[in-house]
Formats: sequence, C-alpha cells, structure tokens
Amino acid sequence: MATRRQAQGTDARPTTEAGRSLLPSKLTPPRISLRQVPRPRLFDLLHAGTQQPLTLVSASAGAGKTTLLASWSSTRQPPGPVAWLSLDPGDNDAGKFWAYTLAALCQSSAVPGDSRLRGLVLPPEPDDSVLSVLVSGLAELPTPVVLVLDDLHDITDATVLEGLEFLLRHAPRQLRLVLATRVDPPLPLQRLRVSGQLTQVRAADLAFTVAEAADLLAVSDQVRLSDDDLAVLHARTEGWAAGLRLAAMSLEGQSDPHRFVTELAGDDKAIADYLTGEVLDRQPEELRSFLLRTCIVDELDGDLADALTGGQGGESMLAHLERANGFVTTVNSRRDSYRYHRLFADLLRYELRSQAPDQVGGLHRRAAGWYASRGLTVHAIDQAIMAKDWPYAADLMARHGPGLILRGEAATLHDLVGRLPADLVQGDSELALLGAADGIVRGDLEAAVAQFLAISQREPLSGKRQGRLALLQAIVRTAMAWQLGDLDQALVAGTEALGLQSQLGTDAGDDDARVITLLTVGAAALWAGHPDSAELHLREGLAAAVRSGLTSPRLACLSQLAFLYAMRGELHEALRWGTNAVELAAQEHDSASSIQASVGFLALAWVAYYRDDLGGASRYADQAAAASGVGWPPMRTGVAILRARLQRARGDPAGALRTVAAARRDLAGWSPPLHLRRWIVLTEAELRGAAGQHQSASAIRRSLEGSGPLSGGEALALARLHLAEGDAAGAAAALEPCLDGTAPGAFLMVPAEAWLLDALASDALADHDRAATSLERALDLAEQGGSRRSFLDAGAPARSLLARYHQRVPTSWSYLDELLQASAESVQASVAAPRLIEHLTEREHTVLRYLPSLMTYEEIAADLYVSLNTVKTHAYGIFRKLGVTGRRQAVRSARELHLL
Amino acid sequence: MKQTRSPGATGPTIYEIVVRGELSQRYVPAFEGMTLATGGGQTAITGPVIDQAQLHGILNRVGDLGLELVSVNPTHEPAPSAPVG
Repeated sequence: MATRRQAQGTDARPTTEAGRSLLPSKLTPPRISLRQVPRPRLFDLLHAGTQQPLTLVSASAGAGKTTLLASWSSTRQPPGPVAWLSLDPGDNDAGKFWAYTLAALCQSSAVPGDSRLRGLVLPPEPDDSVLSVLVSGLAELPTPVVLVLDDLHDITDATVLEGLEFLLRHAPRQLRLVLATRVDPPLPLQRLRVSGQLTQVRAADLAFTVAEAADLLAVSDQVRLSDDDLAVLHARTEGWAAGLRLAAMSLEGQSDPHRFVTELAGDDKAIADYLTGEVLDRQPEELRSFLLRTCIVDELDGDLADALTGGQGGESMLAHLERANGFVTTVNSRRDSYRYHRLFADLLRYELRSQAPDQVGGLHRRAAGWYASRGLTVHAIDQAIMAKDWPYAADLMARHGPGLILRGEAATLHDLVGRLPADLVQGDSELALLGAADGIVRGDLEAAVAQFLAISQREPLSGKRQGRLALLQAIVRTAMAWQLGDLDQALVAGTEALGLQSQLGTDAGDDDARVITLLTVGAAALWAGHPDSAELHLREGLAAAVRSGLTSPRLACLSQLAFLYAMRGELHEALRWGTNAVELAAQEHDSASSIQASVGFLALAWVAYYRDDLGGASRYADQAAAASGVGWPPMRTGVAILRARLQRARGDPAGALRTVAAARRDLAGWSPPLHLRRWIVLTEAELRGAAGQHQSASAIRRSLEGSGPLSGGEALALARLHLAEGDAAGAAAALEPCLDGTAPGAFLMVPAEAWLLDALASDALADHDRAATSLERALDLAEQGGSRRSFLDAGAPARSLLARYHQRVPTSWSYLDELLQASAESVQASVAAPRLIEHLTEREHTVLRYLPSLMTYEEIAADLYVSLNTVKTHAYGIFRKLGVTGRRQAVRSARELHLL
Repeated sequence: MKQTRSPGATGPTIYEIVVRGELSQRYVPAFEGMTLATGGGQTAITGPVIDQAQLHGILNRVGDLGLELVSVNPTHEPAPSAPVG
C-alpha cells in the first residue's frame, strides 16, 4: 500500500517537484459531479458555523466531508470567498504548510491586490512573528474569508499544529476556519466550545437521511427502488455516504433491485467490502482492468493512465468514469487530472494485491518511468521504491540526488534512501553517501567523518561509478561549505564538481544538477568577491534553468545577478533583475523561493539606498532578513552593513557602529571570505572616523594597505579614509585603479562615487580643473544612475565642493541644486534626531499625509477644497513643529516619528 | 481495553482487533502479517504487534478503510496459522 501518499503533479509542470513549487491541484476543491445531492440542513450548519471563527467537520473515511464542503463552496452561501487547501502527509513541514495556506488565501478573491499578504514571502521555518503578520493581514481584509483545510488528520507535526493553534488563538475576525478531518485534531478547542464559537459537523450529522438517500439514488434514472427497499438499504448502510454511493453504482442496471437489496441486507460482510465486490464484478472486464491498473497512483491524467494500462484512450476513460459513476473526481481547473476517492482507491489497491499480486511491482515501475520522463524526480523515486525495483531506484537517486542535495532537499533524499533495504545501502558507497548527505550538509561532522571513512575502506569501483562517486563527494562538500558560509571552499568544491560533470557528460545526472551547481558556484564566486566569474556562471545557470523550465534555480540566478549588479554600482540593472526576482518569488509563495528571493531583496535595498529612498531601503532590508530566515551567514553580513549605512544616514552613527561591530563579532562563528571580512572592517573604520575616532580609523586603514590587491569598492573606502585624515595624495593614489578601470568591481563600486572622491582629492590638491571635470562626471553618472546618496554620504566636504564649483560645472543645474538642498537637509538630519516640538492639529495631519506625494501645494489645495494659502500655512506649521525647513525633510522626520 | 504487559519491552504482543462486518480476502493485504477470522458479523484481525506505534498504524488503516472498530485486546493465545476469510 502506498504509505507515502503525496499529491502527485501529473499536470506536467516539471517544476512541481514535491517540496519545491506548489501543486495547484491542492488549492482547488474537487469538482462536484452532477450526481451530487444538495443537503440544505448541512449547508445551514456550515452557514451558522462560518459566522464564527471555527467549524470542525470530523467523521471517519467515506462520510462525505470533502464532497459536502466542496459543494457548499460552490454555492453562494459562504460568508466570503473560499480558500481551499487539500492537505497530505507531505505537508508536515511548517514552511510548506504555511506557504500552501498563504497561497490558498491569496488565490481567493478575498485578498485584494494591495493586501500585505500578497507581498508576504515566508521563511522556511515561519515563527510566531511571521504568523503575526499573517494574522494582521487577515484582520485587514475587506471581507471574511473561509479557509477550508481538508484532510487535517494527515498533519501530525507539532510545529505545524502549534502554528495552527496560534492562528486560532489570535483568530483574526475576518478568518472563518473550517477543518475537515477523520480524527479530532489535537487543538485546544475547549475554550471555543465553551464560548459557543465552535460549530461541529460530526458523523451523525453527515449520515444521509432516508430522504437524502432517495435523492442520491434518484439522480440516476436507471435505479428504481421501492420505499421499503430504500428503508432497508438505508438501515444497512446507516446513511454512510460511501456505502450509499457504492450501492448506487451496484444498483445501476440491476434487473431486480429488490433482490439486490434483500441479499445485501442478509449478508454479514462489511458494507464497503460487499459493495466493492459487487461494483467490480459488474464492470466489463476492460473497465475492471483499467481501475485495478490505475489505482496505484494518487493522481493521474490520461497520459499516465495509458502508460499504466499499456493501452490508449485513458483520457476518455477517466472522463467517462467521472461522468458516469463518480469513481474519480477532477482535481485541477483544466479538468484533465483525476483522483480516485481515497477509500475506493485503497479498496482497489487491496483488490489488485489479492487478485494479481505479481502485477503490482510492474505497475509501480511503469509509474516511476513516467514520472522520471517528466522530470518529477521525487515521485519517480517514490514509485521505484514501491515497485521494489532497487537498481532502478538507486539509479534514479544517483542521477538526481546531487540536484536534490544542492537544492536543499537532502532531507527528502535521506527519507527516500531510508526506504531502501539497509544492506543494499550499506553495500553501496554512492547510496550510503546520498543517505548521509542530509547530516553532512547540516554540518553533522560525526556523520561526515563516519561516512567518508566507511567509503574509503570499500572495494574500488568501476571507472564510471568511481567518477560518479567523486562527483557526489564534490557536490556534498559544496553543499556543506555553502551552508556553513565557507564560500572559498564552496567555490573550490563546486568548480571541481562542474569539471567532473563535464567529464562524465550524460552519466553525471540531469540538467537540474548542472543548473544548481552553476548557481552555487556563481553565487559563491560573487560573495567571495569574484564578480566576473560569478556573472559567467550565473548567466549560464540562468539560461539553462530557463531552458529546462526550473523555477527555483531561475529565481535564485535572477536574485544573485541583481545583487551582482548592485555591488558593481550598476543600479539600473540591479533594479531590473531584482524586481524580476521578487515578482517571481511572490508568485511562488513557497519557502525555498523566499530564501532565493532574499538576496534579490538585498539588491533592491542597496538600489533604494543609493537613490536616497531610506524608507524603501529599510523595508527591503527587513524583507531580505525575514526571507532568509535563520540565515545564511554571508546574508547576515550583507544585511548588517546596509543597516549600518542606513543608521548613519539617519543620524545615528553610534547605532551604526554597534550594528557593524556585532556583524564583525558574528564573523568569528564561520569562515567568511577575505572580501566580506574587509568590507566589514572598512565600514567600521569609516564609521569610527565619522564618529571622531580618527586614530582607530587610521589604524584599520594602515592594516589594510599591503594586505593584497583591493577591489574597487575597497579602494573607494580606503580613499574616503585618506580624505577624512586630510591625506589627499593618498586618496588620489588609492583611487587610480578605480578611475582607469583596472580595479575589479567587487563590493559596491559605484562609479559616481569614485569621480566625486577624485574631485574632492583634486580640490584639496589645488588641481581645480581636474576637480571640475571629475565633479561633472560624478554628477552625470549620479543623475543617470540615480545614485545621489553618494553625494550625501560624502557630507559637508561634498556640499562645499558643489557650492564652490556651482559655476564651473556647465550641466545638470537643476540636479545640482537638488543635491545641494538634499545635502543641506541630510547634514542637518545627521546632527539632530527628529523630535516633535508641538503636537500637530488635525488639519496639519491631513496636509502632512499629502507631503510624500508628488502633488504640488496647488494640487493639494484643490484636492482638499481649500485655498493655496491655507495649505501653505498648515505646511509651515508642520515644518515648525517638526523643527525642519523643507517638505522633503518634513516627510523624513514625520516618518521617523511614525506620524506617517 | 486491558493491557497485560507493555508491548515492545519483551518482544511482540499478539493483539486481537475486532471490527464490525465480515471481511473478504480483499482485506488480507491491508493487514499484512495478521490473520483474519470472520464469524457472527464480525472479523477478528489477529497478529503480532511490535509496539504502540505499529498498533496505531493498524488502527489508522481500520479507519482509512471505513471499518467500524469494535474492540482492541492484547492476548497470549497464538495466532491461527492460516488466514481465514
């Protein structure tokens, strides 16, 4: 029997691997066949229940829970749009469970386009703080939403259940939860029950009444039963929905329904047992064989049915089965994917195993081959194991295992290997290593050592297998180094893996593994400070991911490329790629995507920072931190540096220093690459210099000089330190490689900044012509790239330069004026934290809300039906009370004071 | 439900699980390793159970198949040698 009942992605999207993308079929109620009977008394119960937080539909298999809820959902009765989620045992993972829940909610029309739920990207292990966002997002909905969680009995994971309990405890008023389950869930329902907020629909409610049973049988005009026979049938089935449905199928075309009912009543067999036999015996041989051969998978379309039967016409057969007797229901909106009723599928599987036990393995083997040919790796391995075809299962694992490991699915792989016979795994180096990959990747060194020792003591393998084993070892080392943040090591091992993949060719595994290796090597190169090599690998990985239709690695490549362009100071490109990445992530809604998107968020945060949108930068930084969850060490560093820069820009240099010092201490816990370490050190030195600690700043500077070649961004930081110390010649020397293009562009090499620093240095060296030319270039670049923050961060010296060279710079007058104004405000903001001198009046609050917009004062006046002078009076009142001198600065202060 | 000793501590315990209705051969694969004995409108599913986890697994299967559970009892009697049905 299929103990691992996974929803199976037969709708042929290669990316719908278990655990990666979401299966759309889980998010729609099964379609209700024409044979459905309306059940007003139960609809009334559900109606009353969904006026309140929780409705529990609890009854045994075949009681008709799903059918009732699906048919109720399709009426106009629910108090709001219905979000549907069909659970299965694979959802015992908090990240996956909440990703599906969120996707179900967002798919319903209850969630408007601008709801914060749409932008919510979940970390792999959502905690209460994330669920709080979900709760408040739900509370803000304009209409109630009915969330149906079907088959909740499949959820046994304590973390998921705790999360559900949290949701119930904070029951946002717009959420109407409906739980359908075979066993009462381990949730504290007593409080809700006592306060009358819980409605229950139980077996006794679900049981068909005699009248409903008559309706059910009357749907088919081939069935004619007397009232007496109907009463007998109802008594024998006890109104059990599955029993009545099977009886209806058996009765179709019966020449003597009275005899049928009498025999049924006189038989001691279990009702499902008796009726399954009746139903199957009555089917033509062709149909009977079709049912038995196709019942071994949970979900199928015509193509998979043909693969299993070895015949043709599977699609029309499935359509017929749905129409004629409800053996199957469609599970997706395209109506080409079907599922047997669970109870019936179980009965069919037992029938197959008792009638034709020798066929079971072959059928699973066919299913495995079909899934493998569609790139549905996990399903393929699952079926190969059920077929007990160990060599095939082992081969699939060897081919696809590397891809699974690099994608962070080592745990799934571990479970799959665990289902193979133990002696087989112990005798095979490759399988043993695949099974242990989970522990090794998670940094379980004991497991790693034991495994490598065991493998090195084995007999030598054949050439091809030796090559594959070497590749696997390289992949495992790459994944381990990557997760520990040891990027130099990840780069070495990953490059070795790429080489071995090229050598082995098609023996190396599938496209998937190649794409993910390219991505891993590219990202490691980027974060270790090798942007050119990173770009090559990421571009190649992206192209291959697009070619193979792999969503998750595609998203990861987009994100990493966005970060790469941000680091090179190519802000337009960074914005374009980063926007693509987070949009794709928002469509996917799963936790794997959120990790990938976190780097894209960080790229967008840097873009916003350089464009002087500090609020936007701060929001993106929060999203980056939230999406990366517990965190990949290099991301922690990247986010911390940005946050320190933001704090400094907002006039909190002490806070900035604390942030960066904490990030420096964090470096001790892993093996950061040299460039990342330098980035922290330089940021800290600049902050110390800005805070007046000139000695320690110059000590840091001296320690860096002579520590090997510097990247562009590092050289810029060095030049800033020189300038702060009054050493213009030193600054000019440090800048040279940046200006002649010989410096590698790793880490925040914003070209406008290089020219601005050169202008400052030249000015100090009294080379006024060069200062003017360089300033002009800096202005042009800043205006084109929108990197005006470069000027603001340079502080008072840059402002003075702008003011003095105002006449010598022929272009960009308006931009220059804007910069001067912003720079004056920025300098002012950085000396005094905003405070409110006096409370705003109600009218001032109204006007304040318009200030962040692009509307002129005239437009605001028109909008408020007041005169221009009134608006100006209010605006000046706001400025005075906020202690500011301009609109822009007022917005900034008001935001910090949470007035906006 | 009485329990004579803790299953798992000293090897498997023989359990007798009674469900309503007489089950046919179709159900033999569902309860692998157990024997099915029918009579009087009931079926006794008897066999060795290693621990509570396995017992709960079998009870879940009873539920999955829409069968009605009548009783669950540990027993010291040896299981019948051949499946009956």
